[in-house]
Amino acid sequence: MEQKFEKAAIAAALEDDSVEYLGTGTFGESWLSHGRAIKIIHNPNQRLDRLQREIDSHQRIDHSNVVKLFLARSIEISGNRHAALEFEYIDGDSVRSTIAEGRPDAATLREFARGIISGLNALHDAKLIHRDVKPENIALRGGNLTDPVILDLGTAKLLDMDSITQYPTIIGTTMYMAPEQLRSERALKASDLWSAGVVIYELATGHHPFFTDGAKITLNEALELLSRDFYMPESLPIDLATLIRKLLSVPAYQRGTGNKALRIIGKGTVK
Amino acid sequence: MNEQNNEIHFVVDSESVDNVGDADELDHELRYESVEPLDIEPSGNSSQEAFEATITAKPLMLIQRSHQHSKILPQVYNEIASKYSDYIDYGAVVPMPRMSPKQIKAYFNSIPDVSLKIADPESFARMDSFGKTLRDQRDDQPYVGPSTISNWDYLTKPLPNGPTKSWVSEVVSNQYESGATLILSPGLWLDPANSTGSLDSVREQAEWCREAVQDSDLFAVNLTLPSAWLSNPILLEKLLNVLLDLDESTFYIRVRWPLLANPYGQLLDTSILSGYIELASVLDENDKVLITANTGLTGWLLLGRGAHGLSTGLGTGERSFADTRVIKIKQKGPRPAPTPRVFESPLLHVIDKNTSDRIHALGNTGTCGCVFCTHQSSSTTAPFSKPNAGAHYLLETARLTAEVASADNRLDAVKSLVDDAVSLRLAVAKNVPLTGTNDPKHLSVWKNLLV
Repeated sequence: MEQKFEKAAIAAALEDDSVEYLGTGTFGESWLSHGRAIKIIHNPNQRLDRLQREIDSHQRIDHSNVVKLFLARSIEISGNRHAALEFEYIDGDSVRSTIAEGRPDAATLREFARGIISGLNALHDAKLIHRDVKPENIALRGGNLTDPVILDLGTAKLLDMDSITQYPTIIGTTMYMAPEQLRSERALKASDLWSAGVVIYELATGHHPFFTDGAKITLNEALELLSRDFYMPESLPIDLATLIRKLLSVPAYQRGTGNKALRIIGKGTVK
Repeated sequence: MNEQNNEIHFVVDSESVDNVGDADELDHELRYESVEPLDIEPSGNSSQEAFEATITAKPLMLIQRSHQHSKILPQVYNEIASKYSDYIDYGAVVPMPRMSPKQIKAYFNSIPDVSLKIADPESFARMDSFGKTLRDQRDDQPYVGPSTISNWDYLTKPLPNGPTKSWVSEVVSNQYESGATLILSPGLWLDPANSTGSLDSVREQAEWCREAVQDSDLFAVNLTLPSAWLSNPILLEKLLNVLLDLDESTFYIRVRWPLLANPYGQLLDTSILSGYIELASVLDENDKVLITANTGLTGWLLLGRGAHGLSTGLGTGERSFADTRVIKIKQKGPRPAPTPRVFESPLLHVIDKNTSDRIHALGNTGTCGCVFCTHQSSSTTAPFSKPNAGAHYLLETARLTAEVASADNRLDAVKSLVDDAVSLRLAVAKNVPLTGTNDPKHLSVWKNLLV
């Protein structure tokens, strides 16, 4: 995606001449400034006060698999107010670029799954739901798949994810949404677990379990595809296959809790 | 006594008419009990004890205080404590709106060694919740009588826009003031016709309840459900989605059963039972605690499928939360004599005393040596003691629960005890046919569910 803001405008807004452009996502773009990643939302005049509870909760999270949120504020860029979220800067690629590089071994995939699910548990314990877990929103600390970090929390709610689930559409960010999100129902903790299941599957196989990238389908077609069985490589160890199958259960409750998922791959909280 | 044209009205929860003698007369049930409460201060909150009692690996048996004969319950607790406390946790539940604050405190003070105490708010009895249906099923007599409802504003306070944070806080405060050590959320009726709205309200009430409970005290999310939530797969899925999504981990769930086939009977509807099993197993798999309220032996069965606890009591109204109907009998003489009934634990069923005696005469089962049965049999001339029979049932339910708890595999233990009951039924059938209300119809249903 294209860079929309001029470097000079960002440098002025952040009062940092050494800002560096990091990349553009669905809703905004990220800049490196004073060692922090600043996510600036494209649409102007987004009200941060709508998100205050989420911001407060996120700021209290101290977990290695969740990006640290330092500050949320509004900045002026070329005469417009834009929401800006200051995050910990993770020096490493996102999972998206890693998927293209080849398949990780089972031990690495297991560690990746543990990291993502542990991070989601931390979010959920803070009464937060991510709503938009996808490869682009998972960074790899030091480029290591065994050290994933969940990014971009709060952006989804800020930008009102309901507005991007209108069909027919080119499947983009909705590729990772749980069936209940596609039905515009309330997002659950289990919705994040579904998305994590899709990402883990994609890392394991190199492709999405249900959709072809770029396909144009209706909502009903999408929901029908999600309910189909999907190919599971025989080479995948039984615990990882079980985990993925569980996380990709259409009824949300059948995905279980994050702790249950961790136990499947050998590290959970004992009752 | 409720008299209309010399009729006596009895409220019963089974299709069978031969339990009229066991049933409470409607008017008597609603009368303020004459027992003078003990003038003792409540023993105070013991949240740590309550916490331990709820989350240990031991199954939990709660005894609902009954309308009648509850004076025997302290002795029941003593017996359970001395015999089974190594294997099970136990606790006491009072129906808060159907007692006065003084009665509750007196009762809780009479059982000082019971650490887990619940004052069930029974908010479903509100007229804008399930109260009107309850009243309709009871010949226009309310579930909560006029003598106690005046103590509990939360039951009558108008809630034109639904439950509020301050109302939930009031429900919680009332429980603390009553001496409860495990707090429940209000437990309003969940309307399946407005499933999303009802479940959203459950979330909201759970959140408000969490804010209202003191510090880290444990509380249980309290749900009162029509059985459709368990028998209808779509509703069950919605319910489970929310229960797993909630941060809270302890659930106290009461389900309205259809009219029972037998007095003191068990639930026979396989679709509801299957829903219970799914509920119990899903919560257990995900480290959540399910206490099935008013389930009696059906709750015991569910221990084998992942439920953590059950509640039961001396009377039929505590052993189930089933639809009721009113039987009207012309008053030509004294009230019909109750049929003496006993819990025949090897059969997992309540049968009449005569049939029980005939079975014991066959030598297939031993005579119960519990203190209550010993007292019952000590005099051949004294009338049959319903309290002793009920206390025997409670003690035996505790023993059955302990037996399951002490097994390596709870499901196998339940299966084994059900198999034994099925075998006993077959063994005695030639000499003592078990028919009518003596027929343990639930055994074949249970056996199929345990496969």
